[in-house]
Amino acid sequence: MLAIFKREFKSYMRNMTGPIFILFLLLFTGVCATIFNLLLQYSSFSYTIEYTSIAFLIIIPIITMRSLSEDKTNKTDYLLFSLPIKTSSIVLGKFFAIVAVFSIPMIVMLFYPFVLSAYGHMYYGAGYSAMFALYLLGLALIAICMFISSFTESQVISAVVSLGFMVFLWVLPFLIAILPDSALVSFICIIVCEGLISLLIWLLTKNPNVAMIAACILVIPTCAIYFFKSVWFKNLFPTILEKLSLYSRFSNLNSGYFDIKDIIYLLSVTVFFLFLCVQSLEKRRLN
Amino acid sequence: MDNQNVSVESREALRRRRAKTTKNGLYIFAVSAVVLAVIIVVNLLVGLIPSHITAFDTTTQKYYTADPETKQYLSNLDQDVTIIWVCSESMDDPTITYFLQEYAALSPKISLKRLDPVDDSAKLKPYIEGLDTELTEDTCFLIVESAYRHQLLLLTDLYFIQNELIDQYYGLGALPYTYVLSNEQYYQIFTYAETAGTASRYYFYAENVLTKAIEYMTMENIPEDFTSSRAMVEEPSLSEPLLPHMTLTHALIWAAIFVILIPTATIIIGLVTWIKRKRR
Repeated sequence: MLAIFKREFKSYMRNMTGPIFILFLLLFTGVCATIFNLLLQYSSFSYTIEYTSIAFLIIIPIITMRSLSEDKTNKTDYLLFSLPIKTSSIVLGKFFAIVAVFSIPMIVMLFYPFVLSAYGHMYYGAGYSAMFALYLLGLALIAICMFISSFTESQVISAVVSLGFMVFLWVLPFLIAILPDSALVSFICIIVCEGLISLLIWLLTKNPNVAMIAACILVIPTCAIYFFKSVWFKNLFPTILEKLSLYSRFSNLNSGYFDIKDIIYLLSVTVFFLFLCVQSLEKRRLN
Repeated sequence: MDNQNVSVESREALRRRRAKTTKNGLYIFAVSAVVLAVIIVVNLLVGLIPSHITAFDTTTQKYYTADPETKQYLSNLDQDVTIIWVCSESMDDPTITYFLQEYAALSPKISLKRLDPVDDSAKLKPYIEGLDTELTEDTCFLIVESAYRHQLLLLTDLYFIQNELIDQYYGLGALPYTYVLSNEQYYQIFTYAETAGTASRYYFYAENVLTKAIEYMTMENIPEDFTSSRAMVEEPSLSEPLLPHMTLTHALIWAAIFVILIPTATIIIGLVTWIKRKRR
């Protein structure tokens, strides 16, 4: 894992992807800090952090686009599979290399509240907890984008799909607010999600019969429950989305209300998507 | 004959390959589903722990934490008080839930209840009778109830909204139905100016409002000139300096460092490394 980490980290720093990522994140933070802390003179760094999270929509897909898809294009993945290392070590090595690059601007950011404290009273608690929340959000988004990267050989497709997904995650709290709370809408949305799960099974197994059976297992009970207890579906889908929304959790942490539940959720998302990355590579190795 | 054998063999190989793909795919799906289930269970279990144990108030002003005076007042509370949080799941405000749980943990006399504005509208009817308000999915308010009376606190009552640009305060409890008493008497404890403009800063102000409401609800007889006997958290003031020593010159210098110097330094370091590599 350490060898892969070193190789990837050096590669990021040598081919300019890493410095450009650091540049954009620091530039965005600098602009936000200038607006909120220098010009509007806010004592809290949370506003800066909240707006800095928007930069993730663009910069995280850029840094993760080559993480797993490049090996696929160059066929170096077969070389990696032939080495006596676990697939999880490959994924973790690559993940920690991106995290190391991501940590550099975050470390620089740690000094900003200190600098500003020379001019008045800075709210350290809220500021640093917001930074920690931003870091955890970044880890979760990196894991998600790496998983997307594992699907495709093309870096451009990986970046575009990741960008689309990032935008979706960002607008999710706004979508939840406008989503109708009726049972029928929730029922339809859940059926669509179950359809997508069946499609995923079909993609994984390449067997339409298995996908059809899975669809029946998922859809028939849902329809039955809706038929007998449609009230259970009322507002169900918006509630599920609200619980799943990464940016809602980040906003909670950023508001000065630091809940371990939100931290565990963000870490869970990171772990789950890294696990999916491992499975994605395992699938290639097995087939 | 040979061709037929080859065809049968290749079909058999294809069938085996498909079976292997299906088996591998199902294995990966099953393992992922199990991991997802474990993660969901862990999150659900953590979610069962009360927020006042898992959450921390990181604000310097401790907006979400009851001050020692409130803590002492609540520990000496001798009347039963029920706080009903009327809010749908989709409109839930975790800071309010956390704050209410902290209050409930401070006094055995305080009990919490959660009602949905639409599903429990029949239960809520007595509380909003005579008011010009409708119970919809977006309605969120608190009911503080004692043996003597009850009171409604709107969500807007719990947040102090400050407009820095026009140097004026926004309305707090300015809505006419903020306080309703069961004996049909009406008292408005808080008076705030309401001005037009765009709010730019929010302060969580629930401690003042909620503690005063509890004090108010547990008094058997309310004097005409009722004012809270307890000193409360001070209202955030605009006269409070934020970064008082920050002059325009300093702001511009630091802006240049944050926006130009630090990012440029990063890209120069990156370029130097890249050029060195190219030369090699």
